[in-house]
Amino acid sequence: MTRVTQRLCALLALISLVACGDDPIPVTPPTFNRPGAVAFLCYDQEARQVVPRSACLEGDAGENPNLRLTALVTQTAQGEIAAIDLQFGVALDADVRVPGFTHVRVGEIPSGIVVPPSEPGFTYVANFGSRTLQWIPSARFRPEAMVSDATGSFVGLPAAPLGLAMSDDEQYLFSSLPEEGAVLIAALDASGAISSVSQQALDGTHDAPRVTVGDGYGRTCPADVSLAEPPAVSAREDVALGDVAQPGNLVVDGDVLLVADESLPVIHRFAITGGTLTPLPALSPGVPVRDLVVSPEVPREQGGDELTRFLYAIDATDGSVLVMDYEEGSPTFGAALSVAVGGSAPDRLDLVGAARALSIITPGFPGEECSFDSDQERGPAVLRGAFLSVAMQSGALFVVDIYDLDSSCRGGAMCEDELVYQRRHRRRVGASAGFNTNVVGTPAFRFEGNPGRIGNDGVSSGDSPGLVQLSACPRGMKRVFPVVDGDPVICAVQDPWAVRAQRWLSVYEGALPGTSGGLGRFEGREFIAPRANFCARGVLGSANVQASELNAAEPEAGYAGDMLIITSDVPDDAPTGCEIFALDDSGTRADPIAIPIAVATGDTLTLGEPIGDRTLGQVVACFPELLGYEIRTQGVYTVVGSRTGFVHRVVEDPGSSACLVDRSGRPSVPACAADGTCGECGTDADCDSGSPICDAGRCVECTSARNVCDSACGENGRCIELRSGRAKVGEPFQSAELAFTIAPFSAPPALGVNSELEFDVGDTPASLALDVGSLPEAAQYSEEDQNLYIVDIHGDSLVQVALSPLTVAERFD
Amino acid sequence: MRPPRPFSLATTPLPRTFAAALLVLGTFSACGNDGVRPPEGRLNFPTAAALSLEASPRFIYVANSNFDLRYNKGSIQTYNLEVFADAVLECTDRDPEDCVIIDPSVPSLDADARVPPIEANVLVSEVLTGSYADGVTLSPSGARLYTVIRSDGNLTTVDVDPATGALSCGGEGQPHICTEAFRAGDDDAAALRDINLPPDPVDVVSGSLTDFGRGADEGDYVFVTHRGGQASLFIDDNTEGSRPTLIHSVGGLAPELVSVAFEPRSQLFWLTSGGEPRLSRVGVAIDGLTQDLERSFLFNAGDLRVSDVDTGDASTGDTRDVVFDPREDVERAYVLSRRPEALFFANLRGSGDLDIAQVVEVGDGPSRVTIHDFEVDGEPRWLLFVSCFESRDLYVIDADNGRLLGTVGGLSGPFEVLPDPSRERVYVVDFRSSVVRAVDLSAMLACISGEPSSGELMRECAPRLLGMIGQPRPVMELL
Repeated sequence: MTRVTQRLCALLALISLVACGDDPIPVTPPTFNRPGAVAFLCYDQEARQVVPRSACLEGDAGENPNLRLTALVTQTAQGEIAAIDLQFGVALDADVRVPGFTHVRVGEIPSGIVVPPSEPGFTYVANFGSRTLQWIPSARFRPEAMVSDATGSFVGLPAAPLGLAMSDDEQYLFSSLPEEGAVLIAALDASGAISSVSQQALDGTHDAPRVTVGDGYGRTCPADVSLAEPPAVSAREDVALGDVAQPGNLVVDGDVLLVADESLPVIHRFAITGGTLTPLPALSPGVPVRDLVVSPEVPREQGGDELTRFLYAIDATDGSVLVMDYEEGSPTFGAALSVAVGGSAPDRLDLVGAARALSIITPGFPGEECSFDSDQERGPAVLRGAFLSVAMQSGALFVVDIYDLDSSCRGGAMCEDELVYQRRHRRRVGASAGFNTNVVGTPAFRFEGNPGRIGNDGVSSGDSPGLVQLSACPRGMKRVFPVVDGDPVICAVQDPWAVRAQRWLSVYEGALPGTSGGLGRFEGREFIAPRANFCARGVLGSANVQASELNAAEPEAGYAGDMLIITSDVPDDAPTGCEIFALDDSGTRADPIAIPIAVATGDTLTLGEPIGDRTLGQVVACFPELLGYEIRTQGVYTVVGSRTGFVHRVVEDPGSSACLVDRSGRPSVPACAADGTCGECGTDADCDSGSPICDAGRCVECTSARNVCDSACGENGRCIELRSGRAKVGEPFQSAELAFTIAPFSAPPALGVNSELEFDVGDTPASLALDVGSLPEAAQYSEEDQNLYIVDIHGDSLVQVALSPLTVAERFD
Repeated sequence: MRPPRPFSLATTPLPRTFAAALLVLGTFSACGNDGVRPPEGRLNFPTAAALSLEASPRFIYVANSNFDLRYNKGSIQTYNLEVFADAVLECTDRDPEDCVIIDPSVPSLDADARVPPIEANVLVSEVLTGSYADGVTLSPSGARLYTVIRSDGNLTTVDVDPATGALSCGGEGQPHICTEAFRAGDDDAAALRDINLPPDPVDVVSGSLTDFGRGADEGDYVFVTHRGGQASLFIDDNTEGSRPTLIHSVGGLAPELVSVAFEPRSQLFWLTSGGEPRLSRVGVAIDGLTQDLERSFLFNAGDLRVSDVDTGDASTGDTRDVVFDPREDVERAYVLSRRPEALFFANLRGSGDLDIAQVVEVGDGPSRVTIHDFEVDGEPRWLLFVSCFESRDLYVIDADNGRLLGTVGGLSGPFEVLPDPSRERVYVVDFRSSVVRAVDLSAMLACISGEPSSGELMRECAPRLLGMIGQPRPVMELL
């Protein structure tokens, strides 16, 4: 029997077995292929026709079971549109006469789709690949629909269209033409066919970007929780990714068309007047943007009459999300808002990672404010109001608070029910109770390899120096150790959006992360390491500290400079006498070669004499070749967070390339003129006396972090620098996230002493988040069923997200 | 998250069947049986290819892996692209799948084919190498080909006559079998310095030592990656009869290494890993003081973690290829990932984490990416080509904005991709059907240039298949 015959027999046997089975395995062919945009239509099953979308509004649909909300999803790889019956949860076979599952064929690479809400006879599709705009009878997507004599067609375009939007009067379509730097305007005739197309060119004219501080709308329970205020920051300098306009996402907002520009730092605005787009003053986000959405008008304060609204956009340079004041008539209309606290950029939403798609979700909005009398379910996962949903590159979905109709009732009238942390433009906190940021477990303090634990009084159980009890935590911080009672030993920032769960490691004379290398070499007293980028890693020499002209209150003041440590072995052909520098059998040196740094520049270190009884000349003679090295701090602890890293404020001076301490974030303290304007700036030592400081051209009191950019104000008005990763022995250490004091050694430590403090800050509030897939491509909220739909381009699916409570309801693929 | 794919070409360990085959081969060789020589001029599981260096390439060099070990050798072949271009003109009334060009010296696989192949003198030269070639690179002068052979664990050098495309590697007569002198592995000099070539080489890249600031007359470097997380450096001084010398190897890199590319700004090699969510980077230290090239060494320049994308879990990752934007003012890497199946646009300035600026979804089983400029309206348009082995298609993506410009379906096992702007084509090495396909980009480029659709039929802008070198030989049982 040949192999072929054997296989045929095996195949026949297999077929026979399958034929005998009671439960044949249903074959579900893959139906999605690189899905992109999504649109909705409402289908009346009884009348067998597509009807206005409002008919499918929740409530109406519940009363009429014949109404079927249907999602249309572009399949970009195949040039098709898939239709999903959202009530039945099934994909619709476009042509049952064709074997297998089929979708409606359109042009190549469909990039946008629109179904007019009121006159849904035709569905419009922009085809990026075949450079066409086409219209298809919407009934075509429901195979059982009554056959009509409507036929579709297409118009050829001079360039590839990207995205599609429709005017509110359903008379015009708009699409971006990135290659032309223009917006396409397509006029529809009475039958719904496209009758003409024209273009509106874009230019990059815009004002300088502005930034203002976002409002403090929100609710906290307990009410006395100290929340950090977003700082007043300067607007970023414009960043462009190209020289000419590249229109991207379009949003029709009433009679205004907004066009994202993926190349220039502009959001174009046009008044829609008939078939004409009249340019309006553009918005200046400071960066090119990808996706953008506009919120509805919401009360500025809970239940108030004054309204406000916001525009959110994805920064095309890094995927972060910015927010702008978009209330017409507001004095800060068009200004970006400073909204974030903690380590993230103040003028961006704090979202951890890059965003892919935005959508405004408005379940129950507009609607009645909550009432304590109501037994309506409330909680962080129940969404009733206006929110921003952000689908992230990582597949996560975050919800950002804009206006919560239930806000004033959450936690109870006297905050007796639950912990509530809620703030506009911040990630919605996902838990209602159970979080209370603390040190998890007991801090460990190892000394010369001997383990030790820190007691509630800060004293170590081992030989290590231990920590010093503090009289109180700095403003804005809370005690995180000891957890239960007693004077604080370790404090952490209290604001739930500023604190991060992470491991903190403080190593005496520890290495600066990212400073090890293998390409260093000596040239006289200099050590050259190409591309080492010492300043960016935070390296400081003693002369760099002096040159920075620090005042005594600043953390780097008086610092002796970092040390160069040689990590490689002596070369085989090194001169006689170099054996003293050889590595031992374990590949280490009991007596490190540590050379203090006098001057650090981008890739060069000017060195002092080595610590100990060696000379620099000896070292240089014994290491004539390229060698391995790292940089360690000297006489201080190197504090590194597992997520924050080593925080510093060292920059490279553009002129001299020397590493200098960046003092630009410190407040300028003026002698205030009689009229209240800023006079000559003094030094920030003046702040110690409680003098007003100069902030954004105004004299204000130094009362909060908002006044002092990257620094904080101490209780006495003294300005505290928070960008610090070197903890001095026996002196208070404070960064943006932590405060503690490491006790002095009982005896002067030897070079290479091993002294390490390690603890975990945890139990931090978790954000309300959902895993919606692998790579979200688009997000679309449906008013009709009040669900959010996420297109997962990598998972080849459409994800239905229910909003009360927030959960993945179904995946269609 | 989709389940991991059952098969992946580049990270497949040498299979058990191979070990068994080796055992059998060994047994038979003891009896004096050398196995079956590959038939002359036949493509056999091609895995890698390179184009000759002319502006309009005259030759394509194809490495055949002999993946199913049907024969006792792999091979490298030269095909004449000018002859192929002329032959394709005869296919105007043929379906692209029927546009099969074979050399007259190669017997047809199917004498009763419905549409007989077109015979043309496309085959220029052929040499036999070891099995499992997994990467080929042309030296900067175009006079040498380097390929890594996984079965032998060596770097094989093939001399090329750029004028004729003729290959030679020490053999005499036909078939031309590469001799030991052209297979560089461990050598005595390296062994004296305690340097050994790690096993399982998977990719190779070469360049001039001028990339590291040395003189053009000092020769070329050849950089080899090994699947087990090692990299090796060879230097070829390019003198008459010279062979690459193993200079150094470094380990401790990411596991399951797949491919390598050189990033000229930082002078570092970037290595993709099929096992972990990180890219390794390796530098070459050439000591400016001693001026001794043989004292050069490789060093681990640190990993770039792949984060902020859904790789399944924190410890797994799978990147398959990387290329760098050649434009001086665009500091960007394009990293091809299988977890998720996407092309990452990454900024070069990141450290620690791969600084992903954009994620562009591609098809299933993405395997190779390449970038090249094509002229559109007199201006260069930079296009990225991504072969997707499992969805059996080719993606064309705009390098400036990440937008998909077109897909080419109907491929069988697309792997290596070689753009040919002079002919507005791209050549796709098809592993599964053992052919080299040509894809015509002219319609897509014409659409990009703004020629509007006209008439009642919607214009087709997608790239289209033209024809192929070699007769398709579908493989059912392997894949």
